[in-house]
Amino acid sequence: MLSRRTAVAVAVVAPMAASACSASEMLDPVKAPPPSTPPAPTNPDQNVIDATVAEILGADEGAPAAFVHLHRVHIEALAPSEGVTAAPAQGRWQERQLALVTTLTTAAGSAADPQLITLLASAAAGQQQLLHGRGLA
Amino acid sequence: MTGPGMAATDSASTEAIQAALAVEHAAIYVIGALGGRTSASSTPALARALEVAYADHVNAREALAVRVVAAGLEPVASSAVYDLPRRTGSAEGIGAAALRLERDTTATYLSLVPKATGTDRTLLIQLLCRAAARQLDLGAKPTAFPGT
Repeated sequence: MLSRRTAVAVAVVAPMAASACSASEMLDPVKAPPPSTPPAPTNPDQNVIDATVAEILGADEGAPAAFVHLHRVHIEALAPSEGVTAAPAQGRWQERQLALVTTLTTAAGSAADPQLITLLASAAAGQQQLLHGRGLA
Repeated sequence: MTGPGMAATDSASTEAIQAALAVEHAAIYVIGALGGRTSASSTPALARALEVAYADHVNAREALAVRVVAAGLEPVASSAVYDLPRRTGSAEGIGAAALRLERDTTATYLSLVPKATGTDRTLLIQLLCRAAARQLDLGAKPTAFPGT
């Protein structure tokens, strides 16, 4: 038979123990409920973005600083996936800059999102402006 | 895509081409008028830039009209007259008006590009690039995103 003091102590501890058990269950990573925020949807144009950025990076080698700076601005706006690497550089730097206008135009032609299409088309025009200013187009 | 959805896409694309054609009609009129007020002897660089711009706009008009005809439609006609820019009494004023026109043309093309599809979109981007390049001939500095 429990003394009065012991009975009171058990009465107080029992709900705490039950509560602790519930908390333990909630913290179990295996039984954790799904997060309330759903994962961000995959951008259907991400492949187009990443392939374009790889070409832009590939055009940097040997190019004057003005082109490299313009490319940085374009890449930042395009928001590529992490770890995108430069496509292999081919030909002279001038040829790569000219080819980049075609790359951006083609990418704008295959993108689905109107905002991305606008961004790529405007980037192509920016590249064309710089080429024109240097007498290359 | 096939059926009505495809037809709607084609229609929107051709409408974008027609809108660009209307822009070129106006540009040809305005650039022609500005060129007529420009002295090739006292301002040869400006006169040359306007000549090149005029030829470019005519070529653009032809390319766009061909595309509309290929789609089985009647190309939009030019108006009889267009509003001319004010303050064109000096070479500076003429150059500034021509630059404004090319900036507006660039912005219009950029707004039309997403509405077009396939080769129509490619053509509009090519004409957008030409318009952006012409801005430099008229004294503009290059920008990262022309037309925005």
